[in-house]
Amino acid sequence: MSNALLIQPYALSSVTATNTDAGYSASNLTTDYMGMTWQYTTGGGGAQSFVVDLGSDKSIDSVVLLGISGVLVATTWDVYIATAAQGSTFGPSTTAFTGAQLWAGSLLTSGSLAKALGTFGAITGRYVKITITPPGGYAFRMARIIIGDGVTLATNFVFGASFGVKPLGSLDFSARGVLLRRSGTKLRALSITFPAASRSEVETSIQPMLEVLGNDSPLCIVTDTDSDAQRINRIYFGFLTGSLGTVWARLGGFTADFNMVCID
Amino acid sequence: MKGHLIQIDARDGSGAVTRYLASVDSPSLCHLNSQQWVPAIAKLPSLRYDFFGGDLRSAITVPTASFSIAIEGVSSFTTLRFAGARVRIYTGNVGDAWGSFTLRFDGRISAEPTLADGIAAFEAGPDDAWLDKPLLTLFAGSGGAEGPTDLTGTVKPLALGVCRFAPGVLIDATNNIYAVSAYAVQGITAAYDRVVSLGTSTGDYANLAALIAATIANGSWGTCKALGLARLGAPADGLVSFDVSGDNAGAAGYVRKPGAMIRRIAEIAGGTVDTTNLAALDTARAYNLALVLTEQTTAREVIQQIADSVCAVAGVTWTGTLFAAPLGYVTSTQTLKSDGTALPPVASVEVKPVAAPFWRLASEAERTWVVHQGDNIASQYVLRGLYSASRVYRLDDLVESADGSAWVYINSTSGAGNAPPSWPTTSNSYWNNAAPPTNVDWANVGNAAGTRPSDSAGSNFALVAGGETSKLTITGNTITQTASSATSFNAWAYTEQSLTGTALVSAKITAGASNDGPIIGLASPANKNLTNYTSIDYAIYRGPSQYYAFESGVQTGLGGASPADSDVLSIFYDGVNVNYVRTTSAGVTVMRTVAATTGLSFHAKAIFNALGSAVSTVMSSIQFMPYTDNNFASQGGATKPENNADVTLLVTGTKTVSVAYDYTGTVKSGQLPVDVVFKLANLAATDLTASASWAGVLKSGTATFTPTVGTPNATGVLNVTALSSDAVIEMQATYGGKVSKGTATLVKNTDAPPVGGAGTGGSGTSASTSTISSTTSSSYGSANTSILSVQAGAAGQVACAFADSFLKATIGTGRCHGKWQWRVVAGVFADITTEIASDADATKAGAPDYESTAGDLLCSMTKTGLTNGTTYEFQLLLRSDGSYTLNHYGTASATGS
Repeated sequence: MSNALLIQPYALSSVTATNTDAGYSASNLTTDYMGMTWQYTTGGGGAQSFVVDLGSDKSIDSVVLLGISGVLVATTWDVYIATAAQGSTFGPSTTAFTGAQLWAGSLLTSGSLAKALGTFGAITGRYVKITITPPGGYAFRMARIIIGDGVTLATNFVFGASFGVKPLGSLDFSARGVLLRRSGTKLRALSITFPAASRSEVETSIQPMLEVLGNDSPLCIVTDTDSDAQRINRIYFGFLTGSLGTVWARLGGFTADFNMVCID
Repeated sequence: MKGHLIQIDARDGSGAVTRYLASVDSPSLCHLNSQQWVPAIAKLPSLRYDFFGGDLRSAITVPTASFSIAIEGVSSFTTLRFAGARVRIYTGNVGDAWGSFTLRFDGRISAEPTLADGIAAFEAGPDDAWLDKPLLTLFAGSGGAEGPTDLTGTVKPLALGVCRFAPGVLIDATNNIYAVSAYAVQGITAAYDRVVSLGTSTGDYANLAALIAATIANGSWGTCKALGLARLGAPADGLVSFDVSGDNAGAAGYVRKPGAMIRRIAEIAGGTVDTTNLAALDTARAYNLALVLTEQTTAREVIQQIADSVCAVAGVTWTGTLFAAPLGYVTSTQTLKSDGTALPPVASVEVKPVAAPFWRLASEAERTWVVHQGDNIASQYVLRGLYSASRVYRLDDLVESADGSAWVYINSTSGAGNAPPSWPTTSNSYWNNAAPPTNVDWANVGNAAGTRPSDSAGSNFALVAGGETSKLTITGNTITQTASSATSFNAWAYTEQSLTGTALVSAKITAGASNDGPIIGLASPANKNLTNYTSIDYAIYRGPSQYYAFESGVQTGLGGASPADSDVLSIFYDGVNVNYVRTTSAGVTVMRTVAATTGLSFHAKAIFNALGSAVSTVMSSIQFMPYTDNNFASQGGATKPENNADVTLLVTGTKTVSVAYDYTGTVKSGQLPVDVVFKLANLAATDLTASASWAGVLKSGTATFTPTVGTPNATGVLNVTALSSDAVIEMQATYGGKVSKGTATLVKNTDAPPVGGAGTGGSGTSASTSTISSTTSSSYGSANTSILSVQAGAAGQVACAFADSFLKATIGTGRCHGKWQWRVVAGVFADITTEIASDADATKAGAPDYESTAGDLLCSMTKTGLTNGTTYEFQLLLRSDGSYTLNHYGTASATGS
């Protein structure tokens, strides 16, 4: 099992898409509303490219796509990165990867939404071009693009990790035992602990990240980056809850707890 | 799971900006209807109704909605303005298509939202602003159906249902047009003027122009239902009202029931209604209502009143649709059970406070829309003056007939040409007598033997008895002599009143044949109370066989037939003359006219003498009054205006024309002929000259002119061609049977003769002629010689001589006479002295030789006293001594010295 990957999403200044259906703006790919998606179905879909502007050159080694629907397992995708100097036209650029399978295996989430993870050696750039090519010209929808410079701690999280659900519905009974129910959304929840983070990891990665995220900025955690069918269920996107921080638990060792409610 | 979508049509500085919000962060919800619904609804919409509170006076109920959103999800939130923004709320199951979502609320945000903790809280209500806008349209004041200027901005009435005595607005005072309802109406079934029906309408006309052009009789009326107008045939007497079957201009046509009326009002106000719901109200409350609106109001007020009137509650749905539901006891359609055996589940049960019982369950009906005060109601009769056959009369109209009788119209059908009956008939199908004639037959009134006035008695004077008053009985204008006076003509009666300028006294005298009849006449103030018939200045005396005039005692017979009791005797003084008149059934006879002084004052006076064999003498029907007569031809006086004078026509023209002559009497060149121009015009200065017939009449002098009476012209131009002496010519213009006159005065203006001094010439001059014209008549005619002009000499005289030898043209003896005449140049001839007779006769024998013997006349005359050196003119005049012709021979000469 690979070590978990923590990705602090860069803010996306803008996203442009090759095509867009009315009411499905590409800018939806920048928001944290997973219900607001990009979509293009007119003309049967086909390969679509998205150019993401990060606003300035940044180090990039991870791209995550959330809320994907309407594509098949055989769908492939390419990622290219261009610096600010190279511009957004992607004449000159650096290829992160090409022809990769959009997601591993054929298993979808309970919401029938696919998630894609692409990792590669860090590349500095401002513009990221993502091209998705579904087979047979299938049209598809996508909710969020996450681009970041992931953190993988030397020591993985330990046993005791919990994977739960935060239900937002309610249930009650009247004094006469009559069921009083109000259904609501069920959000995934994740609670993992990294017991052996080094001081360097804490000081250079974890603590700065937590200071930025707080409880109101999203974080993407991939508990296992291995390319298998369950990887889509190991990608979590949401907000940290509770107290944030690391505990200097022993000499040279820190403990970091992550409790997250997911919106994906 | 339920999803909620909220669409807000907000505004920013550039215009409308719509924001779409969702309650669930799901693609199946956030992209419905091709929109991007941001999942930013923080608190689901709460919708609330507050229905019938038990008080039917409450306003139309309006629901509310409240919800909250996270402002993070609304882009540019702080730049948006939400107050008044339209907001729509949809609900459906997440995952369902857009078509499965239901519009739950459509209204407007009440105010800007409250903000706290990144959450904006909104309150909203349905868009019911149309309920509060002015309902009635206004007159534009642009004329026609929009009324005159002074109606600008006032409301047009609106009638719904069958309205009795609905008011109208007078929009055309010239044509008597009333606006009864602002839109087309089903009908106007009756018109009232002071609550008196004007009968059946003349008809309905398609438009205003046709209504105005229609012939509508006085007292009748017509309609233009398409515009809700009515027109009266004549100006109204008072308050006008109408029975109206009201508005039928809406989508539902003619509306009478509550739901339909509410629908029509909403239609006028621009609102949205639930037609099915209102139709159901009409079924549940199938009552015909009537409503007239004459003052500005709102649809909210009116609809609420209509709903109240039928025990219904009106409200507006969450989507802004008006509905009205009847209140009542109905069968429940759903039972809520707290034990969970029925849905929806009941969470808790509690009893709320109950207000007091409600009572308003009845409503009014058959309202009279115009309340007529007492003076607005023709409750008894409407006075219409004298009956006119051309006027339309209706029930309770009151007219008078020429005899003074009054009649009430009793027929329920109005109409013209139905005359009241003649008295004493008291009714027919149309009229009932309200009062008998006022021209009373006094002969049938009161006690004829008692104190009632005599028939046709006047009352403008009072008779006073004088002298032997016991012999007279005065009753009104009747004097009865009951016994002879002891002293002759010593019982009299007179009026205290006197009349000055003119006076007339008349009476009938009833007396026996042997009666020494009474006298009646005019007495001066000094004589009014004196005895004897001599005290009456002008009197008529009834004698046994004729009438007599007694003027201060002087008797003059008036002739005529025998006096009769039925004669009416009159004496009138017109300011110039006193006339004695007798009026009988045969006619009027002026028996005598005598001149009198102007300005006299008279009393009426009667004197009685002996009764003779008569039982009594009665002088009745005595009248005493100023004398008036518009027959000016009968008026006396030298200065009275011309009979039938017309002062409206005026003749204008040159008054005086001077014609210049030289000292010899010869008219100067260019002086004659001369035109004198007259014009005829009326008071309006209209020139009537060419329309009149003009004739000149010579009033004095000698002149030759046209036109004349025999040859008038139509130019008004008097053309004078010759003038022998100064002349006055009257130009008479005859126009319209009247003669107007103008006068031209022609003055012969002769130059003075040249002046000759004494000693000049010395012996003077002479002239002679042997041309002597014949004489045929025993009177002088024209001169028998030409004029001889001779200058007197130092002796100042001219000797004229003619030694005439004359012959008679016919058989017999003849003689002649002669004389000389003289004048200054251009003057008038005058005889020098008397004529001279012939010395010897002329004879002409008969057959067989017919010998003539000349007669002799020596006619010599000398005119003396003349001025030396001055020229004078002389002529010889001859005449026969009978009607025969004499031929004269010799030389006539004049010699100055």
